Amino acid sequence: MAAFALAVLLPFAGLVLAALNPSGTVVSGLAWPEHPTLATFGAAWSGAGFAGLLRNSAVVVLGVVPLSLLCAVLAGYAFATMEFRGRGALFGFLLLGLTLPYEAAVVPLYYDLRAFGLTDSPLAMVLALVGLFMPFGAFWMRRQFLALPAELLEAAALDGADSWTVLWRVLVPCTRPAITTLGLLYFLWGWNQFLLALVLIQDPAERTAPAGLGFFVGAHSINVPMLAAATLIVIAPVVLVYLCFQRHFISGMLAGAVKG
Amino acid sequence: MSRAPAARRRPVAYLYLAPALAVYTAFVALPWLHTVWISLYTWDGVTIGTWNGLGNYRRVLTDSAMLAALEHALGFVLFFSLLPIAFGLLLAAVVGGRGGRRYPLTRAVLFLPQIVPLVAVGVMWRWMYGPDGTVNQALRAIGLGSLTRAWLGDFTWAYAAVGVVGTWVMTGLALVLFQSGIQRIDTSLYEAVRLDGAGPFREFAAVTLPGLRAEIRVALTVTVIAALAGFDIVYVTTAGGPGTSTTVPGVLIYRLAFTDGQVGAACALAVVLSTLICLLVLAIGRLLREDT
Amino acid sequence: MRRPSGPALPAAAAVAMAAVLSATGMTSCGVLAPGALTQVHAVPGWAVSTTVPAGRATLTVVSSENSGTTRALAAAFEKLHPGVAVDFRYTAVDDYNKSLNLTLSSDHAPDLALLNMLGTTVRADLVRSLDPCATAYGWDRSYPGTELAQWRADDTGVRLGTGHLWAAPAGFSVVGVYYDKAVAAGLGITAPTTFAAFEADLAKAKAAGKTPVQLGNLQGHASLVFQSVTDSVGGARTASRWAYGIPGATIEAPGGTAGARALSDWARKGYLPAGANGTDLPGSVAAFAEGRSLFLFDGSWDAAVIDRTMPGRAGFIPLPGPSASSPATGIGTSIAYAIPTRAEHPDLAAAFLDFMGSAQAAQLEFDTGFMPVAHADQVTAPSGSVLADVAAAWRRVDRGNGLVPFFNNATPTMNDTLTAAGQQLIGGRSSPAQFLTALQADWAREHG
Repeated sequence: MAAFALAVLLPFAGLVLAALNPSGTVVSGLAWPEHPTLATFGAAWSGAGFAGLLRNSAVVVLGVVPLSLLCAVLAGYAFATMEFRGRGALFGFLLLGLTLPYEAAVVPLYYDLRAFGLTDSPLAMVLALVGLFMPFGAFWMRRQFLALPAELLEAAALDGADSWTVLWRVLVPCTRPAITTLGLLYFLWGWNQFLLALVLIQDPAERTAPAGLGFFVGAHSINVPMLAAATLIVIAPVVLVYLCFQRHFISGMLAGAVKG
Repeated sequence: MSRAPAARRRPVAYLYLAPALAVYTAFVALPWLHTVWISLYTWDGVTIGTWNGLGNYRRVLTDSAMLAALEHALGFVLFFSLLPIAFGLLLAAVVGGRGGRRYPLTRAVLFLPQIVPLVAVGVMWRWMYGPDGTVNQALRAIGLGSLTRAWLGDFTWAYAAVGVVGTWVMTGLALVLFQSGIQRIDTSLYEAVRLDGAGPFREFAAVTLPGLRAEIRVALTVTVIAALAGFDIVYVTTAGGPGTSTTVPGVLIYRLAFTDGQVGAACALAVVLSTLICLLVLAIGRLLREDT
Repeated sequence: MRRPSGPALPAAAAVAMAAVLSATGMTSCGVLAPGALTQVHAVPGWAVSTTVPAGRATLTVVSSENSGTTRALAAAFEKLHPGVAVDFRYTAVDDYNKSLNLTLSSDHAPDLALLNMLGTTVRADLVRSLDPCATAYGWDRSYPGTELAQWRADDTGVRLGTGHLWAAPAGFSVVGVYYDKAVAAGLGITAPTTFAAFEADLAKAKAAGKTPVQLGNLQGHASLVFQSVTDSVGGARTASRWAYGIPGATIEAPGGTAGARALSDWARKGYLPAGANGTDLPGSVAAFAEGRSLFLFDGSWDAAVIDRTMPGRAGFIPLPGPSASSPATGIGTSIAYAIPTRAEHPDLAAAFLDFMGSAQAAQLEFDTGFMPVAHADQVTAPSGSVLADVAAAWRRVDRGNGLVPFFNNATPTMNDTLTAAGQQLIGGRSSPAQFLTALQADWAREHG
């Protein structure tokens, strides 16, 4: 296990060491920099306008996470606790989306959103991502609600609470850890999304961090320290959040996956 | 499935479902149908398209570049799915259930490639494989300097090199998944086969493997989707080259639709790809269904 | 990309799918053919005003040119017109070409866009015909006709070289052969004057353990080698006909055959670096500066960089032809700017285009590695710099009418085809004949 962990860390280590070199240095493999410096981070930061890129990414995830959480909680609640005509069909309709690759929808998404003047704005990304995240979210929340003891619902119903109150007073507080996990996953997927960002956002001023990194590679292909620094800047936010909520991430992804 | 008070229909459910279904329909289902629709046209993305029937599909199934891309994607299943799962099982067999909880730090590290953006992964490996990269450095260090090359530009090696990136990304997932799965296997099962005089191999085949059936199914599903729908890594490392030796459908769809002005063909390829993924995922679910 | 799995889909899913298909499919897509809604419509009869509008305005420029030319021109233009700010946005050429159509048709279309090729921009009405500008500013008088010909095309953008003007040049670039004077001196080589002598020099360099031709082909720049040989052996006129898409032209002719053969032979004999397919153009320029290689096929756009990284050590010549008296040829194009149909400030953009042809602009263009469009006789280069060599080469190519447009722009897909086929050829995966067949097949799809 330690060997595998080392294999995972090696490329990261190379990246960090490379980024410590002055911009423009020719870096050969894994080596301690001759003139360690943090200046390259500054150069990459201003060179690619990362302040703007990170802000755009933040805007996207700040829109995506609460919106998709809300939709997922509501849908999961209906699927888990209510009887209605077409429940199986609608659930199946949603689940179809679980296997759908982004490539399958990105072309018309671009042309349709452009027709509505929505491209080149974070809103395009937010709406598309909320839609794409819905199958997993509804599925996940439905299972969380189903896993709660039935007595909980019955007791609430006996008290005469309506469905809205039951959801927010009883079910949501009981599933808070699961909702946190889902939110974290949404954050991660939203932040990392590349293809949609590449296509839906053409205006360099509106680009997200991963798309900005993609363009940065073309522009600075031989400046390894600069590229390494830029890469570290882009992954820093997700890695930080991951380290803080590591347990949530892993257990969430595993549990979500296994019981599915 | 039903836990609502028996058979009482709740129309209010539709209100709860409305937001999710609306966004999903507008931004996933309809675009997908629109993909199908466009795939029936010859369209350059800007002028008005002309009806082409199934012509684009005929092209996907006969054009060598399209078929190569689909083949490459299927081939990546080895690197993204089978190898990581093999590694995961191997480790699970050797370490058993002891690894996971006791080394939370190791677990966190193993999972790291699942967290970082794939673009960043691509950038990282692009440099590792470069003429001055870590891979060549390591080869020189162990006296195999003659094997060094620009890996991503080499017809023989570029494909495997990109595949290895996939293995690197996915192995951690399989490892952690199986580690946690093995802990849930009833230890009495192991005791029972041991009483029968079974060696470690039979123990693995008779208890561990069946016990991990659900985890294997999940790992297969997730990684197969990643293998077939991959875009980010190839786009950043090789963009499909050298020649067409690493093209995958994702990159081809992007290029056809947004630079070559062949949007109809791009959509046909997208439809074929999503059908393929859907069928494979269904097949995996069917093959490894849990016995209940 | 990675999403957790779901259970096997219930049968109801199929029903749901069918229901949605029938309920929404037809209404959402309707009977409309794709593209009918998002059509960009050409601007009919644009009345160009040659006075720069008063008041504040921001001119947005998108470009894949990073030698500083456009930036320098922009700064000078801002100084001339204090109310104007130029917002210059650079994107690396690969990504730039991939996203250009999307950029031009977006709601935030720029006022000026660099065109590396006409591609589908004309057919899709994404750029304006500049005929009204040319008339208003009198460009027909100030530019030599051949320089504007490169950016003329019919309404479909297929037949090139004649017709309406779609872009105006901000300076020419010319591709030739850089050589390392120190390495050449060490080998006892002087600049070759025939193609045979050039190939003999390659053998000499190889024998001495140098890299004869430095090359980065990750993005397909072996095409520079292929086309240089094709142009010089087969002649500029024949090569231009193919580049312009003139019916009946073929690459499977003596010139093309020589070009493909050269690439394939050089790769086999080890004249090209082994990792060429994994190195990009900037990487090969950096490797050339290290002083272990003899030649580099590259454009004048890298002259400033090469002068900086190996001062006084680099020379530049057009690739020699069959005999010392053969007219010099060079792949050349202008960095040219077009005015998008959806531009917000078209008149201001036209004024900028006109400024690009001024004497002041000429020196700025030359200083940053481009051959000026007009007033070429008025620019000066520091002697001993590679720029002086480039200027001399440009004059020879120009005098012999040896300028050939990039093959990469012969069709919208030719760049991809040249890249993939070139990588296969030097990777030993295809023969020169297969290489030429692939090129001609792409060409025939567009030009019949």
